[in-house]
Parts: sequence; C-alpha cells; structure tokens
Amino acid sequence: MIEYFSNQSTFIKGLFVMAIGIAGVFLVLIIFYFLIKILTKIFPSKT
Amino acid sequence: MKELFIGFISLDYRQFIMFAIGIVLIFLAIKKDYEPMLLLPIGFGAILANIPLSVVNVSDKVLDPFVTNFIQANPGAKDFFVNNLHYIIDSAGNAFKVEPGVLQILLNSGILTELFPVLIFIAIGAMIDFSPLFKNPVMIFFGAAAQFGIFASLIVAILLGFDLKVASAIGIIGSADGPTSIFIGARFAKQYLGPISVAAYSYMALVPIIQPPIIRLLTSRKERLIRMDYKDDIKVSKSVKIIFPISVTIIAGIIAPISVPLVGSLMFGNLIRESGVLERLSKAAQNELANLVTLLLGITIGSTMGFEKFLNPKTLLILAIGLLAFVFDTAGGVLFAKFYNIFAKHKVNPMIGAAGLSAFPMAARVVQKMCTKEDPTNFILMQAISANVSGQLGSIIAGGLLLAIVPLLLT
Repeated sequence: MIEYFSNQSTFIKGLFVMAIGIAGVFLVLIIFYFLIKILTKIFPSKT
Repeated sequence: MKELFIGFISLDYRQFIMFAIGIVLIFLAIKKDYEPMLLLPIGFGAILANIPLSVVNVSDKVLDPFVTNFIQANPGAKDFFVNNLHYIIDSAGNAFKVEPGVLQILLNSGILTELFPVLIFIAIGAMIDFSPLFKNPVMIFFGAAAQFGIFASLIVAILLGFDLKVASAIGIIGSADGPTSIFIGARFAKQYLGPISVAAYSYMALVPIIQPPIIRLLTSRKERLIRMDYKDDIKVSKSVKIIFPISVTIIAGIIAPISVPLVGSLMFGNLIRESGVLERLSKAAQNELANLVTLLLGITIGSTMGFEKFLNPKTLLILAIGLLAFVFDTAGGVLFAKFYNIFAKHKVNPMIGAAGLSAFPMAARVVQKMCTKEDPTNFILMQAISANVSGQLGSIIAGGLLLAIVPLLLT
C-alpha cells in the first residue's frame, strides 16, 4: 500500500497521511482509554 | 575610515522590519502577557540575528579554495555542503567555511540535534497531572479530535505549493505544542524552523482570542449551557499513576518507534513526578530545567529569524496556514463533541471539544471562561483539563505518526 501511495501525487500522499494520521491518533488514544480503564480496575484506590 | 562605519553601510531596510517584529514580540510578552517566557527571548533573538555583521550566528567566514573548485566541478554537491557542513556559497560560487557564532552553536547543538525539545518534554511531563483524565477517561477522545487541524492544514499547505515534508512541518503548528513543532520542523523543514516555531508559540498565546469566535459559531447557547457531572469522589491509586507513563511509552514506542524521544521524555518526566521518591528531581525538572531550556530555546529560535530567511512570502503563508490549523483544531474538537452527543447517554458540553487542543492550560481556561459567561454556576473546568491533557498526548502521537509515515512515502 505504501508503495502504491509513494508513486502518487503530493496531494494524494497528503490525503493518505491525513487518513492514517487521524485514524492513528484515534486508535492510539482508544488503546490508552482501555489502558486507563483496565489500570483503574486492577489497581483501585484503597482510600 | 570606511571600516568604522561598516555597521551602517551594511544595513538593509529589511533588518529594520525584523527589529520591528522583534520589538512587537517583546511588547506582546511584556504588555499583553502573551507567553512572555517564550515571546520575549524569541523577540530579542530576532533583534540579535538581524544586527548587521552580527557575530552571534556567524563568527567568521574563511574562503575554502578546495571546496570552491569541487562545487564548481560538481554543482549537485552544493546543498550537501550548505546544509551539512556549514558552508556559505556566494553568488560568484566561492565557498566559505563558516565558523559558528554563539547562537548558531546553540542552534546546532540544541535544536538541530532535537536536544532542547526533548529536555522541555521532560519538564512538561513533570508538570502534568493525569488524575483528571483517569477520573474522566472518555475525555481522551476529544484530545484526538482536536488534532484534526494538523492534517487539514497539511492539505492546505500542499495545495499552496509546499512539498509533503514542509507541509507536514507546517501542519504540526496545529499541534499547539511548541516542542513538537520544533522537533518536526528540525527534521522536515530546517529552512522554515523560525516561522514554524514563532507561529506555534504565538498562536498558543493567542488561543483566548482565536478559539471563542469559532466555538460560538459552531454551538448554540443551549449547547453551551449543558452541565456535566464531575466524579470528584473517585480516587486514583498511585500504582495507576506509575504504571500509566511506563505503559504509554511502551505502547507508543511499539506503534511508532520514531516517536520515542517525544513520548519517552514526556513520560519520563511524568514518572519522576508520580514516583514520589524523586521529589527533588521532579521540582528541578519543573523549575530549573524548564526555565533554563526555555530561555535558551527562545533566544535560539529567535536567532533563526534572519531577514533573508524570514521576510519572504512563504513565511507569511506559513503564518496564515498556522492560524488556520488552530481554527481547524477547534472546529474539529467542537464538531466531534456534537457528534458524540448524538450517541451519548450523558451529553457533554460541546465546548469541551475545543479544550482538546494541546495548549495547556489556556484551552481549558478559555472553555471554562466561556462557560461561566453563559452560566456563572456551571463548572466544566476539570473535564476541560482532562481533554486538554489528552490533547498533549494526542499532539505527540500525531507528531510521531507524521515522523513515521512521511519518510516512507518519499523513499
């Protein structure tokens, strides 16, 4: 896929970066969301 | 006799324009209190860099006949010598070896090596308290949505004729995060590092002016009056606070290894803070380290604002696109919050979306101020802070993804 897009125009490459970038940020932060949920479940506050 | 007045003889009217820009930045810092820790040193650095024959950037130039002949025989090698070996080539094709001045040494060793941004991130990490986010983890999504401006302005920059690397460096102004902007700028667009850094820091300072009209435009009064519950009774254990920065570093490092210097240093600073056993180091990172690096960073960035590089139409374009990036960020965050409300059982105040910007704590403060203006008894500051902290994570991840994807497309 990367090879296909690396042969496209700069604009198409930009759109690809945009799509992967936005999806990537959401994906990583979704992982962090579940990480927080799991950590707070496993290690509840004792106070 | 001529040598006595060499400073006057070498003056160019564009240097006066740069003096004026430097003075405006210092004025904004002192009179308006807009990011004074950065705008003041940047403004003064800009003045220093434009003093004729100033030795702060170049202390000496020595003609190198060997390299001159080599470049005349191999014109393609010119960029290599200029960009990597600190040569200046004049219009006659003579190559001069440049002996760096004090600010050039700081630029070479602190910014082009990415040392200063990393040190600043350790300091920022030591200042961040993720507790509000742990109490409202759903706010993390608003930190993602408000990164929309980075990518939207990247497209605008491409449409205006910039190549992919430079467009990415311009887009990252929308991260509303100075060190990330400098980090990406130093890798992708060294020639535009000055305007990119100045835009990032100036617009962060101007968040209270940029955001409110966009928020008002995209929300109704009824939406701005929405109240949100804050779970203040939830306590977060120390284990969570310690494991979180370690886990984030590992996860982000595996997904985008190139982002490790950014994420790793931020999370290292946070771990020092949360460990509870390194209070002295934590305080040193928050105060001495932050102050010293900020001081050097500001004046070094200012020194990149030489008139030849700064005063050209592309700089104005970069400043305009940077402003657009902040507008897109705010709009992206607010519209995402409205979209979220379609499905959510507990509606959020859509202004929270605008707090997903990384500019901490300005974005959260703006949202609370607007909220108080609509209803003095409505408090959404802690939720806004949660979104704001998430924005810091989001902006670093976005920067890491740009660092990872863009070079792949250019090979």
